[in-house]
Amino acid sequence: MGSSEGQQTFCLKWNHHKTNLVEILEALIKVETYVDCTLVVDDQVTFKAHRVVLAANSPYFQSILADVPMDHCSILFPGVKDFEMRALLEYMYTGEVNVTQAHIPRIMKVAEELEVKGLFDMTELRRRPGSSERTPAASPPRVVPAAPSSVSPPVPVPVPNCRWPPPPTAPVLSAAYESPDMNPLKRKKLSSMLATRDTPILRNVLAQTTPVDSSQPMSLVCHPLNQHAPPRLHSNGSAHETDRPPSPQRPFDYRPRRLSSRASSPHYNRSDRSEDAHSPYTERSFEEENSRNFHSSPPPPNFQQDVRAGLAPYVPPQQKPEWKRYKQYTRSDIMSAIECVRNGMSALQASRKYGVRPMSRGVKRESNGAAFPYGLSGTGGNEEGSPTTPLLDPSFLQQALEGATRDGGREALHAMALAAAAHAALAPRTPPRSAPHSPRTPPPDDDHVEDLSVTRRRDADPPAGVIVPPRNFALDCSSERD
Amino acid sequence: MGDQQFFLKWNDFQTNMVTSFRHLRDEKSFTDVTLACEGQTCKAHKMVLSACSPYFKSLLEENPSKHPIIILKDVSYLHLQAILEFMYAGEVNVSQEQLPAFLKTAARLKVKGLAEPPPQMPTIKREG
Repeated sequence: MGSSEGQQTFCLKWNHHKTNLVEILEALIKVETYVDCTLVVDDQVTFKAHRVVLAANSPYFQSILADVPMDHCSILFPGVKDFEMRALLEYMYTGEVNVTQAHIPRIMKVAEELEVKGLFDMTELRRRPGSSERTPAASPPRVVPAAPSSVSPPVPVPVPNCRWPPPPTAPVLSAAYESPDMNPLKRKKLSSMLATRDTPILRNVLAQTTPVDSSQPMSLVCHPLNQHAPPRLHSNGSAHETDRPPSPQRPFDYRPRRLSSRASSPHYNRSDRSEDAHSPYTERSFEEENSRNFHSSPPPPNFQQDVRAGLAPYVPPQQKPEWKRYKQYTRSDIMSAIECVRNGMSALQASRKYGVRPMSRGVKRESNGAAFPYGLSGTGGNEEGSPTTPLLDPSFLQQALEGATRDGGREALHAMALAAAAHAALAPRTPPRSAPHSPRTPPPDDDHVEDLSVTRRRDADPPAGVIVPPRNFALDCSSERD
Repeated sequence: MGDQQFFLKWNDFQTNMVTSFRHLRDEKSFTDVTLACEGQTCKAHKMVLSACSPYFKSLLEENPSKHPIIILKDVSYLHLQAILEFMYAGEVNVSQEQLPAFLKTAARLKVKGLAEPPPQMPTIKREG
């Protein structure tokens, strides 16, 4: 991770950048602030304007103003009437203008002369090469991790047990992910939607599996965390932790304290690495998930390395213990819990009632324990000692998903989360899929991933706003959970 | 002897002025006005424009600016170049087919020697 992290780049995008820019320019021109040129038309009527705007709207102006170094320049338009210039300026600043029909021909004539974009046939630009090639102003800073593909591990689609077919290819997800407008919430929703038909969850899982993923950029977070960590965070509220015997490790915690606890386990080392990255901002945003998915398709080289280096070795030992943990409840318990949730019971209540750990928690633990060898993992494994039997099989999961789709409500999501948790528990057991990746992150990771993804979705609903800094996000989550 | 005046005359003054201005224009030295039409621009000296055209003179006087940009409407770049050439050199070659439009433009811009009912019409010679 370490090396890759440093190189990772993040795309920060402000979706309203363009709008904002336009609005500001419009406001500035109204008060004639920062104007740097004066347009003079017939009858000594003058207009102030910004050269940048003129140049942006007209290759003609662009070429003329290019070699006019003056601080403030006057542009004389002998023969142009004030109404013509007024209309054109309004058009250039706002993109629209109301004119009387009678004025249209004259205005269009001037516009053509001045090569005002949109009013004049761009084909005429040929004369001035280069003038026309302005780049569109805004590029969005989305949080997309730039290098995911390269980084992402060759995601072994290790999950034989998983119902969902391995994520076809990143395209779908990535597309969604990339769409500029996607805010975390939307993404979450989208991912949940996709889940039914596609395998977002799986993808996530896969992607997450690799600790390596940490390299992947998270939306806001500056430091790429290991995938494990981020997902959990979302899913598990800090609050949950409190409820349960604290599994020592919540991988995600932003909170520094937790990190310290885990150090002991062998995994820990590994986790530490990842943590470093996270520690400050442990949380991952939804985006991360997406990014993972994204990554998943192309296996990141780093990933493998990481796995080998850190994870691989550790994993084997830990895996078992973790699996065991999960099994504390039976499948029927889960089913009952899901039903209750559907009927309106809160997920937390249901989980308590049936002894099924709330997904969030489960996720946490899982993540802590086996899957991610954060410091916590070691402890977690110990706790749960006996591997539970896998409660769920893929079909079960599917059912849950279907149910989710039908209901479409939060309950469904809860149910899905539960199912996912159960599934996760199972997963570990499943014989290790042939994983191309070396020791393959323990199956648990996959599970975790799934859990995580599910959880997140769930979480997503509540903390809609959390887009921004991971810290905030964390706070939100915790509060909500509480 | 203190009151005696001497008359110093440089016989090549006009020639020098013409060549010098032309040179300055070619080098774009000290140009302080930009003329634009048809999406193209050329630089010139306000002083020369003002001297050769009451139109530009009034335009520039009304808009005192360090380096104004004058965007001429309905003027062909070709004609603009020819007019500037005429202003700086006092002569220019124009194709016959362009001549009417050229003179029309010159008239609009009130170029001395081309537009005004000149004391003496510029001689139009046919070349080649």
